[in-house]
Amino acid sequence: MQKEILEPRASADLRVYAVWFNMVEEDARTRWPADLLTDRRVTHFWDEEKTVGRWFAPRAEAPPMVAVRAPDSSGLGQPVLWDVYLVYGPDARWDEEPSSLRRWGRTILRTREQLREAVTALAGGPSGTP
Amino acid sequence: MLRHHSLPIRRRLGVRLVGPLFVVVLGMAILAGGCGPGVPTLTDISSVDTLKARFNEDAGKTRIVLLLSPT
Repeated sequence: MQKEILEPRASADLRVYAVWFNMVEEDARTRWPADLLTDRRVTHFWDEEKTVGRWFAPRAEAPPMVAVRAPDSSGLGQPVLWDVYLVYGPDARWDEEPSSLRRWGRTILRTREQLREAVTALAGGPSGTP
Repeated sequence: MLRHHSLPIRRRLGVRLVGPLFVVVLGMAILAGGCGPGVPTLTDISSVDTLKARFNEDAGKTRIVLLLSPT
């Protein structure tokens, strides 16, 4: 994310919300990798109860999200959605649910090319190229 | 005579000007530093509403939500 998405688009007007929570046995708040995403456009949240992942999980199975899911996504259908990115356009507004979801995918590594394409379409390519 | 005295004064003046200028430039760099690396903080949340509020505050920008585990 930092090297492939943010650094090549240093002037892009985008924001990233990194929501962290425990999913495997080794996870812990104390193991948060503070040096992984240091770009000032990133806001980090710790979600001990996995509320955000639980909130998105059932919605990921609904048609609006299925329609923009990265084709190579895998490991879906779990009670908590994680190892996921969700890309929203500038016109997005979160009332009952966030609107203008352009692309999402799981795992981030497996579907990173679709992430890059979505961000390029919205915020431009590396160094601000259209 | 005048020449011997004026050079140190100029140097002192230079120091007096460069010092505040450095502080101003440093302050501007800190204020303008919207995209570069920073010192991240981790904010605890207990409901999706915190994320929702932040999401709506940033309306007009491309936004990316990442759901991650530390390891």
